[in-house]
Amino acid sequence: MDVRSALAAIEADAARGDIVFPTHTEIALRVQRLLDDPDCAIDALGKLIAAEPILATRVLSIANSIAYNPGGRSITELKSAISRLGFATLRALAASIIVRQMKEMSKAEEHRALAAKLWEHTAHVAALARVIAKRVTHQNPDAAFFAGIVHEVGSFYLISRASAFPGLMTSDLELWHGEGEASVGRAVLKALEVPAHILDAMETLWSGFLAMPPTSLGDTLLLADELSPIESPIDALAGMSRKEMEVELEVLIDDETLSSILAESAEEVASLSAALKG
Amino acid sequence: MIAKPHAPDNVKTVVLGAGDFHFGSGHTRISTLLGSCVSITLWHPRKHIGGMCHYMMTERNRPPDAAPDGRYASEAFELFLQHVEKAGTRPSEYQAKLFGGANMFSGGKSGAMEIGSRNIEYGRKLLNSRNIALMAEHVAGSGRRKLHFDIWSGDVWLSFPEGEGAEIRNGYGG
Repeated sequence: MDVRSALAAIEADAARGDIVFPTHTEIALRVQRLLDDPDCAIDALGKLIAAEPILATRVLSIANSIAYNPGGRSITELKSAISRLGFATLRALAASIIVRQMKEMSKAEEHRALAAKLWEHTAHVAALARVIAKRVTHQNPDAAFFAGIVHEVGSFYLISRASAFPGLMTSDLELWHGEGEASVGRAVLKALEVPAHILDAMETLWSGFLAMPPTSLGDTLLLADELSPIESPIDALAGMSRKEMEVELEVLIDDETLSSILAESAEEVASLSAALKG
Repeated sequence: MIAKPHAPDNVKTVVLGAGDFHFGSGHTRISTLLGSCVSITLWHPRKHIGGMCHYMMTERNRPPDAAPDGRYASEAFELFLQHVEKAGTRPSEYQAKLFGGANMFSGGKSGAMEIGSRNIEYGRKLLNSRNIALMAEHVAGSGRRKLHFDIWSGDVWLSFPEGEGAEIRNGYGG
């Protein structure tokens, strides 16, 4: 398997910009565009979301998760759920539908299994990123949630194209990390019309340099990625698995420690990642 | 092109190898690559001065009259204390960060496996002995850490990309 040539071909395809998302993600893309409209009305949004059962279900389950519903008052109506979540979270959920559908783009069973594992990792990172933004880096939690949801789009695209290159996903993918992932990721995020501040955070993620203590949106993403209990299956293929040896990571934030904040927020993270995965 | 941590144009970069030490001010970025070794950064938040060490072991039977050797934690810390005093400051005014101490010998000799954790613990004790606040640490695990410390801002940038068994691509330390 010539990994270098295969990755170069995938990068070239992505750079040409002809990324096709599954047809049933069309509504999610329309929701994103509607959210960009300054005159966007909740009624119109509600009708559009109701037309996409997966998105509608996700909106309700996230609105009822501990992260958005600490008081435990359950909502069953879509319009109330939209009001509770706000437009920024809705944007993230629409993106989650698209990213989630990207895992169905693979034909081979083993590739779909890899993509499913990558989605599990994504859900954990998104949930952690939201908590870290709120409690540690003091960034916008919705932006962090969104960034977490889209942070592996490059790898989802790689998996979706893997059947054209037999043996690729069982090869050493060390070459993928760094410029390869970044170049494909940029192309996919452009097709998803992702805002500039999310792209900046992604550049920090791809650079791999975490500020200690973490402060920016990019740091939020890097930290969430590192702390996620579910690793990216692509990291394991690149010989980057860290499962065996635990890192001790501690930061003082005002008068608290990172580990105490994460321990307090464990339930919130679990509820949000479960709602996203479900 | 993937963005690296931003730095002003006129930055002087000092690369620390194992056993090296640097203390200074101004637009200086200190960089190093760590395995089981440990680096401590000390930074004075008001005076914007500070330094970094890169030690390999905890201590030794030091020959009489021997100059401090930065390969040993106890002597690297002595170098710190000398510079702190020379700058007219006190150790407790500094903020510390601690990095490294990875397990680089997984599956190997058990003695070698403990080097990283011994280095970490010793570093924590040294800082504690002088009441220096430990603001952040990223230690243990497996693999190499790349580190940049910007003295002008006190920022530390850490890259921890490689897992167990990964090759060193551009090593300049231990």
